Amino acid sequence: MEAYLILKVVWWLLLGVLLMGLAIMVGMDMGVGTILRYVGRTDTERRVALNIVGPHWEGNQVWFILGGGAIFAAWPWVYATAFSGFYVVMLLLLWSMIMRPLGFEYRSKLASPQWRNAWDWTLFVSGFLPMLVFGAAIGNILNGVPFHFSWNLTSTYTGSFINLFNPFAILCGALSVAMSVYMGAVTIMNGGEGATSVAPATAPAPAPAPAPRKGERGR
Amino acid sequence: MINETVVELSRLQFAATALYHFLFVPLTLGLSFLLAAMETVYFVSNRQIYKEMTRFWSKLFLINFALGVATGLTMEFQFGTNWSFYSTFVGDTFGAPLAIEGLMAFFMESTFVGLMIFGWERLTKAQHLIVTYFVALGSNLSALWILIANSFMQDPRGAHFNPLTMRLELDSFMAMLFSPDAQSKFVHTSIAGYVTAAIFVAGISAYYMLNNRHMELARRSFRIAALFGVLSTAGVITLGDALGFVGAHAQPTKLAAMEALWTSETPPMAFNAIAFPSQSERKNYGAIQIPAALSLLVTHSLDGAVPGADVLMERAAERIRDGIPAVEALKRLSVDPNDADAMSQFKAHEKDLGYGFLVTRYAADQDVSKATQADIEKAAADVMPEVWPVFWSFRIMVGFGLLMLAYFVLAVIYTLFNQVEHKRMFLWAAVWAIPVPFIACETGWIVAESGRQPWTVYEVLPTWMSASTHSVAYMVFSLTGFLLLYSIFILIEMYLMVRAVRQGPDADEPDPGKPLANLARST
Repeated sequence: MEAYLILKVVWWLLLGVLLMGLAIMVGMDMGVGTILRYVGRTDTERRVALNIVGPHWEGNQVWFILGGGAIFAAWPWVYATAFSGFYVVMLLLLWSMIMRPLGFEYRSKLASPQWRNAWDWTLFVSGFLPMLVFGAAIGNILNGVPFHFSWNLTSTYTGSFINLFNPFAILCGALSVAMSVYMGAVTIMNGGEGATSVAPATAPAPAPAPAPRKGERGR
Repeated sequence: MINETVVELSRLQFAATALYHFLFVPLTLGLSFLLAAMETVYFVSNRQIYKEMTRFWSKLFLINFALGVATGLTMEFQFGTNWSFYSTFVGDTFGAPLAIEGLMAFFMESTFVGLMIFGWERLTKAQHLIVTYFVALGSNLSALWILIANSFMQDPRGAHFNPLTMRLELDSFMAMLFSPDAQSKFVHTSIAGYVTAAIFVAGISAYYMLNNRHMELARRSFRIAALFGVLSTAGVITLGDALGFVGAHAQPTKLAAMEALWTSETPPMAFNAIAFPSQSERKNYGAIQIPAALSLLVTHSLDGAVPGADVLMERAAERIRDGIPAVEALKRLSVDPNDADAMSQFKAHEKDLGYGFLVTRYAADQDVSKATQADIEKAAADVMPEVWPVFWSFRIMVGFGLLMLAYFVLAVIYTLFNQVEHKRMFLWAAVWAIPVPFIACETGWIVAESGRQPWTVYEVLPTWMSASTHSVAYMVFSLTGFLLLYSIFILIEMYLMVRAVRQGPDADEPDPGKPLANLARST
């Protein structure tokens, strides 16, 4: 029984670390995805922005998988109740998360502008939507969600889909998106500065005017 | 109350998304090791062609890998979203290897795959080789943990049910880890991945040889694939036999379904090579039998016997009768956890609790104490999974396995005598064989998982009880979403794959690993 009490505390700490890792590491990558279309005016600028997170995003995404896996193993009821209760939201989160690996890996495969545009939008959706859902989910959990257990502890969610969009939850979602965009923007500023200035120096084509870079900094 | 349609739709969704995910996993498992093998040759011989080979095949690897990772997310979500009762029931046990998979294996695989793509210019030769090996090791470890979790569903070991917390609790992690089913299944499945990759590489190399393109690369890739393939195919067949041997004891109903064994026979038992099983009449039409072969195959002796459906159903009916008091005691304990009488009743019948659950479906008001003789018989008949898909999937898998063994034996002979590029018929066969291992893997999944029915955890938790309490509309919504997204994804993936193969290794495409200056020029 004592071991159980210790484990309870340890898992709280572990989950805290995992969720912070998720917010920081995945949040940063998703922030880059969210503002990709707005800071990167040309295809090259977007490629530069993506290359900054390119080698790391896949490793960072594991924080997300691990968060899910840890909740499953440590708090099966939380996992089962939250995932099935927030059903539609969870599906939206999942579907946008599925597109992300494809956005990163497939974008550069064809040179066609439509192709790349489509994947840029995919990266926007898969950066913006999950962060919104994470924030709103935390907001709803702080507020409390209605569900009950049957005699054999089958959990049933009794709230409605619309109830999840209360003002507090939406505010939490907006906060989460804002923080992720902030981290993404800082990442691009630090990593992109050198890269964009290298490109015109070695390329024979006339260097892109400094104007867009000024605009980029202004954001 | 449990809604039958929701359960059926949840099953359909799980099967569809798992089969889809399993299109990409085997190739990742095998191709990562083939890449490591090619890069090792490059490291040792320092010949540029092997570097070119590694880079070309890793391009195809990554197209496949991205979808494998993406669709894997669905699997992790789905236990919680669609199978919430299952998740609470097995979180302590099944959840552990799943979490470890993320922590150890997937972390490794994902971290190193980034380095593998971007590292060609930035890492030394030795460092990059190590990175490639870590990707291979990571993806295979990942498969190991997932299959340990899966084996817990097939043959739950190292756990007991706690009536007060309503879930399976882990007694021995080691017992779960070293369950014989997990061991043979891991080796069987991962080697099936190696076979898949070998056929994939050999088939594409054959396509190049037929068109007289990239001959250096094609010849060498074909040879490596052929050698890798012949060993793997021999391995996959041996381990498949071992798995059948283990399964014969652990899951007699699955075995009876695989062999369409309706009535118990005295040894030596005949093997149904071909048959058209009818579930309702419990007999086979048009069976072509090989005398004594079944005893030899599944018990490795002439006088071995395995029970048929009739005996298995009789046994199930007995266990259902014994399990009903366990469920009743469980209900009383849920009201009063200190009810000593209920606890002792539960203890007396606990081993058949799962069978008690099984009859819930047919009992009036889904209350087991109202179960009639007819209800019990219906539930007992359920212990046999749907026979024809298991029976035929098994035969397709085994048939294709043997076919691939013959193909690789020929391939090795031809390639070692430098004959392969002149055998045009054989090369065409190699190209057309590319879908074969994928079909074999998918049918293998059907045998394992469809054959496990009606249980999610064998003899412990019925599938029928495991699903979430959703409305039918929700299930239709999610299924439609997956259908739509997954259809688009597979079209894109196939298009990119075919395009990359057509373009071949010399294709100049903006590669993420290139220095940025070059990138700016090429776009």
